Amino acid sequence: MNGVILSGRQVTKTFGALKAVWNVDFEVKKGEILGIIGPNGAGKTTLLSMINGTLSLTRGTITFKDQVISGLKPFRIAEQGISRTFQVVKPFPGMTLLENVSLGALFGKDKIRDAREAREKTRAILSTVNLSGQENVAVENLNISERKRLELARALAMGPELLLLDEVMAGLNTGEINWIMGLIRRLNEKEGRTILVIEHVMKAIMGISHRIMVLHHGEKIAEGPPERISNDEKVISAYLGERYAKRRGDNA
Amino acid sequence: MKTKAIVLGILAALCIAAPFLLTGFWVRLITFTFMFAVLASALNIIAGFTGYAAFGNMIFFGLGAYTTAVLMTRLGFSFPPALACSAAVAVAVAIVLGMLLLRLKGHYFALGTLGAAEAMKYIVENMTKITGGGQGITVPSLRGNPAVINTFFYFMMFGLLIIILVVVWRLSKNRLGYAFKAIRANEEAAGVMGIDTTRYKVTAWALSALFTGLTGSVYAFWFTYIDAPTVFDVMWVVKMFVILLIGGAGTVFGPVIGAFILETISELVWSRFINLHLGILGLIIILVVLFMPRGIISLVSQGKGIKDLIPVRRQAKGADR
Repeated sequence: MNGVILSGRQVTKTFGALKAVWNVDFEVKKGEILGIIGPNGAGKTTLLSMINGTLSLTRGTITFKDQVISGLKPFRIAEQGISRTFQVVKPFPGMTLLENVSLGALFGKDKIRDAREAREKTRAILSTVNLSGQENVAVENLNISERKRLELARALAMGPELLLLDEVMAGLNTGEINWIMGLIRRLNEKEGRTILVIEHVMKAIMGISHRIMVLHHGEKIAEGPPERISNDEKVISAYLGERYAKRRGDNA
Repeated sequence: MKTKAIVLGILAALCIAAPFLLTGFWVRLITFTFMFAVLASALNIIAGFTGYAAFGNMIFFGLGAYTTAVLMTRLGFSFPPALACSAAVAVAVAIVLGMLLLRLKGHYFALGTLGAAEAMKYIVENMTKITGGGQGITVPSLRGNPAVINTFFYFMMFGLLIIILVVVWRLSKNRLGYAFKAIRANEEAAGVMGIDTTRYKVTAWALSALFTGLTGSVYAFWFTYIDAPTVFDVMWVVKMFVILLIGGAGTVFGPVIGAFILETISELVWSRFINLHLGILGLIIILVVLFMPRGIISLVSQGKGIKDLIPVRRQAKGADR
């Protein structure tokens, strides 16, 4: 396995003539945070959806812990220990915050049979994402920041080895972004979770990722440590822009 | 919690005493109401909890009725084993149909089940040698004092209602119920959470079919004569949906409250305004949907009163000032 927990070979997704993701090869090492960046429409979320099975691959294979997972249904992939958050948060209305999160414990990797036990286990996770005391709040009444943290808590309750985060910081203020960055680092360093994160907030993704993969028009155009990526000519021209590169240069 | 238990205890005691205190007309009327409460609660499992509008649920009512009728008439079964077979047939058909139809979503699923119910009606009607075809089938009846027979069927329906209420109450708290509610809310996200959506949807429909089939079986034994156009009539399901709308879908007691309100209103309106009763019922349904989209039970569960339905307008007036 060489420390590689997730890998993709020639991963391709087309919608008619549109090449959403084209021949992308990637590897994620166990215990690593891999950031994925790219302009809107670059294929980042499509790639994430193929990893967790919500979209099928047109061509290629995805392997998790030496087992091919492409072609499996999302619930089978979740059972293997992969969980994700959605860019547009998807809470389950008609259920309380505690019930929403305990679904992860009931149906994720641990598959706790008893709902009461799952609810108890979930309380600790709510504390991790700073949502303690709101257990019985209807999810319809949560604000965007709370919804983002609920989404994260639900994914964590599934006991994942690999966490796929799709723009968890979008719509949050600077303080909230800093707090989430700290949380992601803690999840990675203290709990040893492997994390694949999509983000548009450059300060955040450059700050937390060990490696960055850049997608443009569905193709991988660069991959490497954040410092190298932020100075890569192709990435600057396709996504980051001259202003970002200059600002980074000035700060350095 | 304690108040709720006391209220439920008093209601249960009243229900147990009712057949010994009321006349035959009222006993039959309440038995009917129990029957609709069971049917609506069964529909509630697939439509209210899981979010799949199973407009063809009368398939299981009809199959339950016909299985009992055929087994008792042609094979000389007594009622208890015929009842068990009716439940088994309904569940088996729900599993097979569910594997096919639960791939459809929204209106497509509703129409698919409606089509399946129509097909089932014609299949049953054309199996003349077994089912009696268009002539229907007469079921061996209970013999004895009519009051005792009325009481027997009253308690059969009451028993079914208690059982399904316990099942639905458990569903509101357990793993299975959580899976149903997650599927209703967002099927894609439910799958990502590790829920095998196909399996749970089929389970929900099978559970719904189980109680619908049992009710059909008791109905056949109670009415002693059934024919396909009656037991496969779409109006059964329409009424179940109206009960869910009035009472509150996805709740434990909503269908029971809805059934009592609808039956009471039907009885009052029918006897006084024979030409207008459908119009008046329609108007009531529109008012409920407009002002209480989550059903009358939402008033109880949110601790609100009728006056709380009006403040939206009051606030708007205040804002104008």
